Amino acid sequence: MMIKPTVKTSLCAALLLAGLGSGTSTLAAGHGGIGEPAPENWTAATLRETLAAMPAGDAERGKELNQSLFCASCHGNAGVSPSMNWPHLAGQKADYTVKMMLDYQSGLRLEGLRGRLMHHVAVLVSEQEITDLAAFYATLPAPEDAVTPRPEVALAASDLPAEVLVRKGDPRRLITPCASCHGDSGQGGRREAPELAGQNPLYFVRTMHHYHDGVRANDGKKTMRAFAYRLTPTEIDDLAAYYADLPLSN
Amino acid sequence: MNLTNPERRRFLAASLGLASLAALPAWARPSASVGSAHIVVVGGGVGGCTAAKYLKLFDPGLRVTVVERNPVYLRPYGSSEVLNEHVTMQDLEVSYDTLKNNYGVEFVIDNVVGFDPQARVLRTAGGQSIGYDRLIVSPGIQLMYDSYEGLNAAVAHQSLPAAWIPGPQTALLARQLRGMRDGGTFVIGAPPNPYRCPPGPYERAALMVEWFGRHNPRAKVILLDPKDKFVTDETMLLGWNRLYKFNIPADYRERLESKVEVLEHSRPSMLSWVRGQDGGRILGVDVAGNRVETEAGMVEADVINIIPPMKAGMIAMDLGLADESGWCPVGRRDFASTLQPDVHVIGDACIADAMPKSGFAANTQAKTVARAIVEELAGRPSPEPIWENTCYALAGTDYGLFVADVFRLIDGRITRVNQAGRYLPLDASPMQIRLAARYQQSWLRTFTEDCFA
Repeated sequence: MMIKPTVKTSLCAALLLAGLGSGTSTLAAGHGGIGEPAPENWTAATLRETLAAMPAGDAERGKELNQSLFCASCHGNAGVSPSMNWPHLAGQKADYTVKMMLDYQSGLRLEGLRGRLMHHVAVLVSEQEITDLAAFYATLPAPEDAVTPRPEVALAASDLPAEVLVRKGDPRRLITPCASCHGDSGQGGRREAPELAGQNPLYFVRTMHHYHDGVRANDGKKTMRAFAYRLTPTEIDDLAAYYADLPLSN
Repeated sequence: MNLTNPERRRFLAASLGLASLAALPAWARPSASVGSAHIVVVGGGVGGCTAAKYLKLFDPGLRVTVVERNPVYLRPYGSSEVLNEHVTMQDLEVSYDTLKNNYGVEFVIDNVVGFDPQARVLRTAGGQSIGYDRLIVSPGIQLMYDSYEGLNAAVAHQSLPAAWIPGPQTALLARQLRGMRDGGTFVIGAPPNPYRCPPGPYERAALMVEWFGRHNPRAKVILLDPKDKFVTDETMLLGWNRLYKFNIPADYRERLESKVEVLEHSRPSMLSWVRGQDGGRILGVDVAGNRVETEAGMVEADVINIIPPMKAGMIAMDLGLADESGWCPVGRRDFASTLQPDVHVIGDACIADAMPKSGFAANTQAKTVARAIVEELAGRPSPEPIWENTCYALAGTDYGLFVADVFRLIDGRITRVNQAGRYLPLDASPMQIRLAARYQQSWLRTFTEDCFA
């Protein structure tokens, strides 16, 4: 199947800018291979400038787009995925959603075939539609008690429990506390650090393994890979369970 | 909140579309077995394989065996895309390896030749006796070639392919279309209701008009139809109107014009749709003369593709599961055969009221039947089923459309319960239309994964 992405002109400019600002080419391992040159990763500056240049989003229009673009089929009418397979978007920070759409558009985020559909969607939508959708998801309350299974975790003696990793990190392994970027209550932090509270644990675990394996590498400085690489699988499960139920304990 | 409760987890597994079991961490997989019954599935298509997979997901302790005559499955959904060279015959192949290796489903590649419903035993041509506690039969369809004067299975196989069950006939039709003379006529005969894949004949016509536009621009496509309408007709006709200069019939035009702009074309389209009311019903075929006789008269053709009337697959007849209608009567809640004990019939072959004969329908029926069997064996009541169907179709490579429905049991009949929003909106934006085509392509892949991987 031939796929010819038709990235909107203004976004091309933004991505070109992103490309110029970055010295290193970052083809993710396991890149879906859409026949395009490897997209350049962001620097803090290119991301900041690109996000600032996006039009202001309208949550009302975003709510309609969530239906008309069929986003709701996988991500739910209110940003809570009705399936085990996909992330919840309810309450997600607008900047993060915008960045993901741009990354899907450029192919920086693909995760093999999984991300292919999002790539198709992202090359069809306008900047305005991206920010409208992002604004809509940001207005929604974080998911509580979504019907996705929670990990049953048996931590090894050498593992650190999620609570400790979130609040204190692990200086021995150079793991920064998760909360320092993702917020005390998993609400997300500055710019691109996403909200994690209420996230689907299956998606959480999959994402951490993707970071670990380099399948996902759209974080500017590979910080998430560095953390995911040092965490054990059981610690990742524990973090998934911790964040999935965080809205309830708040 | 107790999300590690086994009952809750079982509910979750049953109610959610599951990703590949192999891809799921152990904690997201269904809980331990309650039984060791042997469930045998006859037919390794969409219905049979979905049932086998979900039985193992719901209860990994069950022994599940699929009996299927072909070692590799050829998927029928999306198989018209071989004709327009969008995919190859090899792209239709689906392996059973994942079901075998990752789910522990056993496969017996053999023909069923004997059946003792009281002793609950199947016998195969290879001499195996296979005992079962419950039998699921997902036989698919057979094509009734003999319905038309001059047509039979041998003729279809040799020169007049139906290509509705993918295989050598699909490859033959693709070769014929590629070799058709410049300015030739391709005649498609649409089947009467009920038939597998309701939007399929119309999608095939559209894809071939598009293909001829590039490869044989003076060619004609004539769609002969015993019917006057079909599911997704309004959105499909609108696509033809926009893409192929097709003039929409007056009765449809009147309905559509209040909602959307309909183009009036001064020159004839490459595509003609001869409806039942216009004499489109096929009476017979003159194979030597390459002509199709219809109620409206003789139609000269270069390539003929008649999709004949259908009934339940032959194995359903052999096992005594079909009635005089040619289809298999079942209890609507659990698809238990009303003709044989301990047998469930799912997919195109069963009588499912408002549900269409589609792969999607077979898949969703398979899941509810798998659940019903697991609950019954465990002595628990099974929840009331809710079924879904979505048929995606293409009016062109980048022009998608769909019908999406939900069904419930009402007064003993499977009844569609959604009203508005079944179809792509008539006023859909160009982006929505493109997106629907992308969804169609994505669905082909993810649906195959849900059934077979």
